Amino acid sequence: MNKEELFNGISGIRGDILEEAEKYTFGTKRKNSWRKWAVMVAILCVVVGSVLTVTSILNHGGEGKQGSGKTTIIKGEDLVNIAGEDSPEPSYDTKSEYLYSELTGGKDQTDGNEPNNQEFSEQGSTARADLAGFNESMLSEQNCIAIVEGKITNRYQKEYEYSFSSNKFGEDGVMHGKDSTMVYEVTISKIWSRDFDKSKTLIVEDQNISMDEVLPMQIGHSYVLPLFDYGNEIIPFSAGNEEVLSGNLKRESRYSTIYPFHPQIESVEKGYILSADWKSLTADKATPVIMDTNFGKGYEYYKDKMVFLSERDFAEKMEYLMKRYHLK
Amino acid sequence: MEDKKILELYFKRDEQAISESRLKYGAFCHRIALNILSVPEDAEECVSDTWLTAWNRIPPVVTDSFKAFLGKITRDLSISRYRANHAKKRYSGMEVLLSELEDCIPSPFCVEVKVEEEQLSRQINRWLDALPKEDRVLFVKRYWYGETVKNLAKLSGYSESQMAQRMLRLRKSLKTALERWESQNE
Repeated sequence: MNKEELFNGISGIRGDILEEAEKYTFGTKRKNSWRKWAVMVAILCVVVGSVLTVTSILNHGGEGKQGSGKTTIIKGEDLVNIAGEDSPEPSYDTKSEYLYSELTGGKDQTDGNEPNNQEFSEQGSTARADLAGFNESMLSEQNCIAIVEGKITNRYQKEYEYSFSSNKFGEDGVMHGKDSTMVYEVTISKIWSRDFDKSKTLIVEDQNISMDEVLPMQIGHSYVLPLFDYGNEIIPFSAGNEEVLSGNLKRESRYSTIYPFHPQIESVEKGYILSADWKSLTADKATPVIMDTNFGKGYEYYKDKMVFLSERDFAEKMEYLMKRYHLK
Repeated sequence: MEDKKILELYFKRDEQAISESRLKYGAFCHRIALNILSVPEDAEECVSDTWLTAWNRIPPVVTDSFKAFLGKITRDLSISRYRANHAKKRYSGMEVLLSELEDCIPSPFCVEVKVEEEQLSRQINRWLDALPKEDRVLFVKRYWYGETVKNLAKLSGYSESQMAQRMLRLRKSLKTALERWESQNE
């Protein structure tokens, strides 16, 4: 076979595939809008980290001689502002509230088996807001393919190691990269939006970002999951734009949650617990939830931003949300 | 005008069929020809020939997708022109496409294996069917419609180098599929 024959073979691509390609519309923005922030903030963290380190060394070295210099500490909140994201403004009645333990029948928000995501985040900021915050428009920006509800039956962390070309330290250089994902097995109980195969166990795989971590869903808890089709292979973040030379990038699953860096909508007996950054869902009727149980470090930022919606209210708001973002 | 109506004009042998085809799909066909030939004048001639070929084929040909039908004609005509002229002129679009496709050719010891074009198309279609939709679309847009990597990157919101890497992975994936297929046929 030669390239000409192959080209001729490609000429015989079926009409329906050609038509699909012709009609296909890519999202107007980059598929994963949080990723561009991830890259920008990674650079920012390196720059800020370097500045702070240098300043710290200078101050430390100078203390005994000339007194202290002034150092500006950049906090996570500042990074939110740099990213141009509004902080969530819950519009619920602050007089009535629920305890998380009441709603979940005493279940902790963690299952006592916290994955050690921290090792991926320690090199960067500990701020919860390193990435662009969640907003509902990500549903359309990232081509949400379905919203399903289901119970987490298993969870594990998967690591991907690979090598990529790099001229950083000389021509034809090779560097090694490592990325990780959190893989969930989900038993689907309800399809909220779009057609989806309910019969099988769904595998969902969320990719960690070097300076921030996926907020893990808990085994035994049920969640409402907006999903997108990530593709068959992880994006090798460490490689950036360089060519990956070796390593297995094949994912366990094509499906990923739209935004794995905030608590997913949790389904409980009387309704749903969700973060207030779901603005359409939490406007008007939502009731604050006090997170009174053991919760993971990553959830700290959301401690006072969780709300409850009754089953009926949630269903009503979801209808609106799905219409708004054409998910029906 | 709807495709159905245009096709009716062809069947009635009404020459308005050609002007309506040109009006509706002229730009589409021109893009395909230009992607392959990269010489506007030659591309325009291929597009003009497209209407004549369609006129000669319909009837008896009946097509489900008129647009894909016209696209195929334009592409075939453009490739023929490339083959006839490429010794004299350099058509950069096609040259680049072919050089990229070299990545997909199964390992050297298989180069001599002659394959039936139809069988090969079937395997490629099967491989495409198994791809995620966006990958399938990207491959087809690049290697059938001849869209440039730069343009695909712009359309999908990725950087050009990310798109080039994605294309490379797709080509490698096709190569693996073709190698598997060839080894089964040995």
